Amino acid sequence: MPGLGGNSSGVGVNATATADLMTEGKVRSLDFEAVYDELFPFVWRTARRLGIADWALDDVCQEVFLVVHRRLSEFEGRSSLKTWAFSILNNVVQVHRRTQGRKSPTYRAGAQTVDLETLPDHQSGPDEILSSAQAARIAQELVDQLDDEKRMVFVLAELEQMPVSDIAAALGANVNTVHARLRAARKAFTLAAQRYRARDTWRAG
Amino acid sequence: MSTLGPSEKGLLEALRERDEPTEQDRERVRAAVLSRIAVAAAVGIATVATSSQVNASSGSSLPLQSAHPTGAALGEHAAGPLGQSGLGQSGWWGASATAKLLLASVAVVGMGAAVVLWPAAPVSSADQVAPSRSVPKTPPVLPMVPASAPVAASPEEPTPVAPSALPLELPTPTPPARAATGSDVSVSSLDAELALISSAQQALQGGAPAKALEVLDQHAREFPRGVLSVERSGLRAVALCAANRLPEGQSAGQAFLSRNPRSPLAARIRGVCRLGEGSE
Repeated sequence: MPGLGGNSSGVGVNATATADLMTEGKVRSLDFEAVYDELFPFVWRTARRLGIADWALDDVCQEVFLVVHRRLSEFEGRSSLKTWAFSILNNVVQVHRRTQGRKSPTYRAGAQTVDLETLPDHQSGPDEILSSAQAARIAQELVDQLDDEKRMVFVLAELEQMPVSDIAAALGANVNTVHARLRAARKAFTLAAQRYRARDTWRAG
Repeated sequence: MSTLGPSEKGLLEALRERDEPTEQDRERVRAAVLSRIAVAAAVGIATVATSSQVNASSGSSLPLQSAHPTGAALGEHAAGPLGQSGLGQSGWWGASATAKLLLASVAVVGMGAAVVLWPAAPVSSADQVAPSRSVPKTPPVLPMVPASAPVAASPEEPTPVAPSALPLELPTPTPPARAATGSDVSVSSLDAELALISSAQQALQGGAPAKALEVLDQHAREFPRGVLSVERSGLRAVALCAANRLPEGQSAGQAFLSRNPRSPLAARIRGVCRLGEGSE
């Protein structure tokens, strides 16, 4: 087991895994607690944005970190931690979706779906003024309408500001594919936004 | 149209600002993760320890071979060396985590090991890391000796144990069932996967590659596309070679190495399977 011991934090459980990396000739010690702290917000946000319903979010995040812990010694620093974690998140999300028996992010449905038709305090008209919360809900609904492939690339690029090369590494795809998918995702998102506005205008008119 | 217009960008900015987890979210998830890690490790140890006990005491077939543990076999070990059944102690860790862990233990029971013992083991350590229970769910009630157990698998995966009148009552308020039994419990298949992989590792470390292979075959049946499939493949190659099944082991090893050349298992596979350095 590489690199156990050293500067593990005082957690007091046999849960702390450390990994020594050779990165550019330097040894970097990765403490699970530190990795957790660095990655948690990203994993939480991204799981939500990939369509995990609130009631399942804790579980999915826990599972991602279980795998992170298990594979920490394999992380070689060739990609960023975020990229590496995303591929684990993606895997866990896909397995989760399979066990949920659904293929689209409407597994968020039930408790969570925002029905755009019935958003209560939305003002209609061409110069809509939305509260930040309303805007966020609409944005998420539009993201949910993207297909899985586009959504992944879109979330990483537009919401996490991950560079395309990192996204390609995370998805195991080539950079050109990611560029093309991102263009298509932006197009789809824009069209969905236009449909939403058009529907809203119709409703108001 | 490869860029987004201003109103779309505005929507996305609002979304970017939302979704941040709270400190409470962070700590709650951390505590649950650390508990589950400790349990997964303990399961591996307990499974191997207990199965060798059963072997010694009853002379029965290896529990790991049987997917249908008898109530008797479990009963006899319900108060085994790993401590008393502490399942009523819902205070150890968050109830939802407990529910999942108990079902993971039941899943491993479905595999044949009397893993009902293990929750007693990491209690103290789990207490250290999961001090606050902010998850407002009711504690689980689990009888100590299930005659057979539903496996904590997804609906589409095969259940090796017949779903019986197992009086499992794990009230979990919100999420719909993911377990094959359709009971109203949120069960994580990853816990079950971790339990299996951990016990396979323990078996290998204990010099019991045949046992490891049985466990790994179980994982392959229940979680063919599981999150830990890569771990399974690597360990399987090690186990085959360690069990002196070199032709199969080397072939599995080569296949693994070509897909995962930098895996930490690579050196071990090359050693045990006697594959050269350049074998990728």
